[in-house]
Formats: sequence, C-alpha cells, structure tokens
Amino acid sequence: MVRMVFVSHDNNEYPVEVAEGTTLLRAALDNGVPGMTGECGGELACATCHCYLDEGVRAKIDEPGDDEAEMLEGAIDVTADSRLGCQLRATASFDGVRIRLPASQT
Amino acid sequence: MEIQVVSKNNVPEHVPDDLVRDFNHFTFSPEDEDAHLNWARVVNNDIPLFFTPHFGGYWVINDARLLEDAFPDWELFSSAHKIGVPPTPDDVPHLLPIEADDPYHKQLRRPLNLALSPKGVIALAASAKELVAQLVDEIVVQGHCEFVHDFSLKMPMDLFLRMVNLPAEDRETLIALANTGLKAHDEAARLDAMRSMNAYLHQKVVERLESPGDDLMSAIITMDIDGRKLTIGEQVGYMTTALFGGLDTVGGMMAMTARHLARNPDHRKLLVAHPEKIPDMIEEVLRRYAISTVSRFVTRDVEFGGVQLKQGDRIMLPTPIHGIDESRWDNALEVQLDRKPTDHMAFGKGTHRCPGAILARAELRIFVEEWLKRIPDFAIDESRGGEKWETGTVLGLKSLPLHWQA
Repeated sequence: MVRMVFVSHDNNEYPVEVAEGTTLLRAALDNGVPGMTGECGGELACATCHCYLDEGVRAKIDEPGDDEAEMLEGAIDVTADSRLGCQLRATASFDGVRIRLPASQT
Repeated sequence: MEIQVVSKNNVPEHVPDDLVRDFNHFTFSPEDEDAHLNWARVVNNDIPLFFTPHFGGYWVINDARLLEDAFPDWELFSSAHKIGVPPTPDDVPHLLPIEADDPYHKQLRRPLNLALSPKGVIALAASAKELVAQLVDEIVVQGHCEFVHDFSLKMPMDLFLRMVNLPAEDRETLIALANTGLKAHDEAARLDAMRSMNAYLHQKVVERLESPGDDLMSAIITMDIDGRKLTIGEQVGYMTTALFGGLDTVGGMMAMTARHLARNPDHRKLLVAHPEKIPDMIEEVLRRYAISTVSRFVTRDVEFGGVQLKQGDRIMLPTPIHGIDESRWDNALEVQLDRKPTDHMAFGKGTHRCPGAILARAELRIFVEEWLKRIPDFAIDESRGGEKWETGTVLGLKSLPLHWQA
C-alpha cells in the first residue's frame, strides 16, 4: 500500500492509502477527495486532474510524456510542478508524498 | 406506455421471439407527451435489452447498468462503422472523431480536447456570457418567447460560429440544416440536409486552408495525424460533428433546464436567492433529462446482459434512460439539488465521452445565471400551444413557449 496526502488549495489535508499501481486520479476519486475532477474518467482528454508535485518526488519519477505535456497546456495555473493525476501511478516513490491541488478544480 | 411485441419479420435467427419489440426511436413518443416519462415507463417495466426490426434491426439497451458497461467497451462496441440508426450511406463522411475507434480516435481528439479544456473554456465562457446577456436583454421586454427558436437554438450556434470563425449571418441556414439533418423523420430529408451541411463545410474548409487563423476550425483542419494531414473527407466530417455537438445537444439541454425551472417555482426561488447552487441544479438536470442517443457495431459474437449478440449487430445506447432508471437512482424522476450526481451518463462514458462537457456546463450555468437575473419568474405559456417534444438521435423540445411579467 502507498500512503499519500492530498492537500486542497485552501490547505485541507486528505490522507489516503491505496494499492500500488493506482492512479492518483483514482486514489482521489475513490477516497472522496474534492478538487480532483477527472471529467473524462482518466482518458487523458480533459486536464481536470491537474495536481502539483514537489521536486523531491518529481526527481524519482518519469517526466511527463508528450501527450500529457500537451494536455497540460489546457490546465489552469500550470507551473513546473504540474502533472495530470490520471497519468501518475502510486508507487513506493509516492509514499509519504503531499499532492497539492489547484484552486480551479473545486 | 407499452411497446408491442411484433412478429418475426426482419428479425435475424439468433434473436429470440420474446426479446423483440416494435420500437422506433423517431416515433415512439408523440409530440404532446413527455418523452422522458414515456422512456421511464419502458426502462422501469420492460426487459434490459430488446431488439426492434426497424431500420434493418437493432438492439436497444434498456437498463442503466448495461449502459454503464457498454459505453466504455469500445473494442466490443465499435464506433468506426458509424453511430446512427440507420447509419448514413458511404458517401456521407464519418462524423469525426466520434465515428472512429482508438487509437485513431484519440489522435483526432487532441485539438478538440485542448480547445475545450478548462483553460480553453475560460475565454469561451466570457464570450458565452456576452451572447446570453445580449439575447435575454432582447427577449425580456416582450414578456414572452418561444424558448427553442428565440434562445436555445440561437445562443449555442452564435458561440460555435465565433469559435470556428464563420459568419454570424449563416446562423439561420445552419440551424435549419442541423435540425433537419438530425430530427426529420424522413430519412431522405435527413440525408439531404446532411449533404447540404457537408457541402457548406467543404467550401469553408477549402477557403480556411488558404488562410488559417487561431480559431478552432483552423486547429482541426490543419492538424497532423501520424505525420499526415487530414483528408478533405475527414476535415468536413470533423467540422460536421463539431457543429452538431456544439449546437443541438447544448441547446437541447438548455431547453430542458428552462422547462424544469418554468415548472418548478421552488427551484427558481432557491436559485435566485442562492446562485451558488446553480451548478448542483445543472448536474441534476443533466442526469434527469439526458437527451443523446448513439449506436455501436458489435465486433464479435458475445453474450451481453444475458443475451447472445452476433458480430455485425447494431446496438443502441440511449443516455436518456440512465437517469430515470429506478433501479439505479432513488426517486429517479425527482430533481434533488442535494443529490450531486457525479456518475450520470449525460456525457457518455469512456474514450468517446463528450469532449464539450466543460463548455456545456459553463454555457448552462451562464444561461441560468443571466436568465434568472432578468426573468426570475416565468411559466410555460399554454395559450401559445404549450411544450412540444421530438424524439430521435437527440430527444427534446421542439417548442417551449414561455411567458412572464415584462
């Protein structure tokens, strides 16, 4: 199992524990975390599972692929920390990680 | 309403007699009856999957859970053999990206996904607000309107024409063609309108290719797919879908929303006092009054919902039945603002899920906000004939006369 904490834009914390391999989008939806919309259901077609990852975890995982990078252009308030939750799978690298959510997805 | 069981004319061998119904989605509900209520009687009383001999024969999913299973299974239920019942003839271009399967379909969707993303919709919402305000300001002083003609056909078309940078004066022609192409009971009339629409778009595509801009049409027709440009047939088919999708479905849901508010003064009052609850109301309206129907092509022999389907069968997936299936939702017919459904099927599900969902929600929200600011109290005008329904690929209202104190 992987333990992570989703943090809303106004700093509410939502700890979750999910099976390894679960996407971050699924982890948020299945645990009732608000602010991870996932409009398209995880098809990489909508940019509404936008989230922010700190550099620490980003150094341990793959960079976004071309398709994710392109779709991220459709998200709001994109930074260097931005990723799409449907493309990220909870692995050991995510254990203890805090995933910040944008104000636009409420 | 009860659907008659018919004889075995035009019914293939593998379809058992007890699964056959006399059902025609264009005519099953008359214009002076609520099509959702007629569907509700079917979905809540009849078998989950039945076969009808009309249009060469097709299966009809009549159960919310089966619909949830069928939509995402794009490999079993293909869209590449067209999605209409009956499908358009070969000379009519595929409606893209919806009449295509992955991975081709996913590649085609890219420019649409970006244009209709949260960021893309910010600019479009500003445009939508301007158009809604302008149109309602024109209407409000009259004290009455025919909502479909005066508002819900116009506003989404105006927005679409801005998005693709086509002339606003083409609005009435395109509305008429889109309406006939989707709604006419006569197949020849539908095809004529579809071909006229294709011819119009063909000409516009050719012109735009000479001087592309930063509009959605330019993004679509200049896209690369597997290192090649789209063919003219692909470009025209894509633009046709964009037009139908952006016009008929959004406008149809606006009419459903207006009708619901006209008939429910308590909801109107609540939303006037608490506009922040408008998105919750819209989500419930999307669940309860979904309007779109698509069909798929069965790609292999399979048992589905306890029934043997054969490769090459057509199967219809009507989203209107999902939200009114009592086995899926408690008091399904009631619009409850605190229900907050996140899993309704108004936009479909899976890879073909409506790419315009974010924009559609924004248009619906802006419509309700701006309308209620100017016309907080209104009702259906029975003296002008009351509401009139139509069914088909997209079911809904063909007229909705409303009146209020000007």
